[in-house]
Amino acid sequence: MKRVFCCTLLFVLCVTMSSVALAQDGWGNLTGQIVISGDVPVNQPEDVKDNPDKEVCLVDGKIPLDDGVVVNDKNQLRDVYVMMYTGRGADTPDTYHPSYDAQKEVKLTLDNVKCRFVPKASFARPGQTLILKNSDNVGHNCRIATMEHEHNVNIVKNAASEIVLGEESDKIPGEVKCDIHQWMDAIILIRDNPYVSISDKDGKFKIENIPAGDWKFQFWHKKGGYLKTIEVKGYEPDRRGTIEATIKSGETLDLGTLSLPGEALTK
Amino acid sequence: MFRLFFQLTIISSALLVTAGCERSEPPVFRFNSVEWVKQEKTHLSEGEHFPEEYKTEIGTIMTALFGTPDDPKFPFFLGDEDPAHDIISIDNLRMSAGPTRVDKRKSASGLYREHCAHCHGITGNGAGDTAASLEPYPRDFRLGKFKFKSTPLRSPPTDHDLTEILVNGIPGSAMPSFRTLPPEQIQSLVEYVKYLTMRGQFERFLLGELAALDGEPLIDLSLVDKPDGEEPSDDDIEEFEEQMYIVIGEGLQERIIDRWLRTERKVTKIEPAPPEFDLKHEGHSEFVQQGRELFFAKGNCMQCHGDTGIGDGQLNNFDDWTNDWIKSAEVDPEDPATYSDFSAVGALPPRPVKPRNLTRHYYRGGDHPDDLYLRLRNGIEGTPMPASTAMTSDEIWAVVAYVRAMPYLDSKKNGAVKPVNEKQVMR
Amino acid sequence: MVIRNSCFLIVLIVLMGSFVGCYQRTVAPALTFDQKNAETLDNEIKKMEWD
Repeated sequence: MKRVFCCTLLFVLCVTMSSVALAQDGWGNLTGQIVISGDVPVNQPEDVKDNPDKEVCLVDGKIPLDDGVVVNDKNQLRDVYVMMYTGRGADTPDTYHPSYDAQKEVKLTLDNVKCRFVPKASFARPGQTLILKNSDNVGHNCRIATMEHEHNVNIVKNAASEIVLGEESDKIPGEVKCDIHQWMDAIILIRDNPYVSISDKDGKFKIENIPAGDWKFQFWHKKGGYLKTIEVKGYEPDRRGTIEATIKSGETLDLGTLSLPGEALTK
Repeated sequence: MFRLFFQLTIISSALLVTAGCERSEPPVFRFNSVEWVKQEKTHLSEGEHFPEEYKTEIGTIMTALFGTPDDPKFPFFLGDEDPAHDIISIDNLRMSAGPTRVDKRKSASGLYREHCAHCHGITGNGAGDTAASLEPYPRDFRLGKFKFKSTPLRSPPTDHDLTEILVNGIPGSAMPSFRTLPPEQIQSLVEYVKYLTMRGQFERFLLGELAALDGEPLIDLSLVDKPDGEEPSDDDIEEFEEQMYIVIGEGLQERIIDRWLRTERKVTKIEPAPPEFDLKHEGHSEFVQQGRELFFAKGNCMQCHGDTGIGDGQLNNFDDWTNDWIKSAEVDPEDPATYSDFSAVGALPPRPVKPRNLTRHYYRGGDHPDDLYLRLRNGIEGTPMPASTAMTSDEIWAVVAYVRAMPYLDSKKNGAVKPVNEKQVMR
Repeated sequence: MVIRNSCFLIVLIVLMGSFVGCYQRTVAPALTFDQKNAETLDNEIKKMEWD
């Protein structure tokens, strides 16, 4: 038992050491947590109409609510893209940390569960393989339409299709839709710059191994677009929801709690 | 009584002749106002508008790069070395541009205005004189989307694809065949369509950029063209070149022209059909039956095309040309009051896209088995028709065989056609 | 009677003709541009070194 414990400890140590070692050599991290201040917008029931697949798509026998704004009990907001800004006139690093090389080889799964895309928000790199899965007992199609990419794939019930993404990079996330169940929607960002984090169910985000230097970071949400009203202590976001932050070698820049007024998400 | 009526006839015809058909101004390209209104609705609050100067700025950039309907230009950035000469030749553009010339002794010109403009519009915006009365509406080239092509989505059609459409027409639509035109005229029209498409794609890009810029100019000419003839500073030149690079280098060259240059390499390979595909092959009936099963199971085709293939499945979808603007603002396609701002600038009333009736043997994108194979393999751009990525090529051929047999299957003799998984799909 | 009918026909044809031939969908405004600026920009594009 003791031995197992030791081994685990050693393993954990190794992992932390290695990440620290990597982080020291000219690379740093960025973290924070996003919370909604004020009233959280209320999600409306999905516009299911008289779709014949209604039965399959119900959640606990009820018409599902739109998942546009997802918060936990502390109003911490999921699905916010925090990403290094690559838009007009932006400085971006020439090379990325080697730990991101493997990311391209991973097959990313986009599932359909009860007429809902899972995950709601995803990030893929150009050239990556996407597994478009369907766990429902009805047919779906998966229409990905971003600025640079377009795919419209038929995915029959309880099956999966694979596609390989093209080489172009987007600047902001694009849409994923199903034409058969028109209320279904998800978002996907496809770009080469890997410095992207999507806030988790607790509103937390972490971008790892950013080259030390001054970079612009952008906050984006499906319902709010560029989050220009997000409050970040010590920073003033511009009208595209970007802040310029200094990443120091071997350090983690913690932006603390970022509060977003609920009105920003009523688009 | 009769004399009065007679006089009235003469007077009214004379009036109509003089009023309606006077000599008009030379045609001009139309501004993409639908996109403009869409950007306003996306970026601004209710009732706010972009300044009118934006339009002139876009018009100036467009005219500098693409010229006018009578004098077309194309941006060959690398001069004679530019690879774009492979896809566009100025001589071919001139043959299609300008007013229609009827003088048979000289070479042709004005082909586009002669054959295309009345439906597709001078600008290629799908809003020609007759557009509103056609079903389906004529294509608006400016989105850069084409339905019937040998390349996957987001890859432009090849010259061959466009030529096929011009030569064969599109059965079931108002698009006629231009088979009687000599090949060099067809090629000229193909290039002119590509020119109008790239032009329209770039205009949309500019509108998007300008909308996101909040009033700064896209390309600030005052940086290098000082009013008092003063020499621009190095900083000014650098800033100006940066703007040129972003708007023209990235926006036009990389995002638009380069895609058209690469498209021949993206053509989807058509795997040869298995021997059972041949009508005379003994296994053909079984092959058709396999296709029928795929139609209902793996293909999920009945979802839109209906259980009997007559196109009566899902009918509430719109195509991308319509979705492009109806999704941007809260437009209810059934309530014209919600899209009056768009109608005012020429958007045609939204019509749901109709899944094809497969029991009539006409196919818009061509009736060669290869055409049907491509529709299934790649899907149809701009429509809900998805790509059958999960099917093997033999499975696609089986569906093609079934679809081709559909018009001849006698549904009355053996009762109504019923799907194999009847319980799941019948409702 | 015949003449009257043909008169009516002529009116109808003229009316239809005017609808089909002279109905212009010119709701979208013409592209406005600054000729001088367009020429300047054209020259600047030619001067730039594209690669």
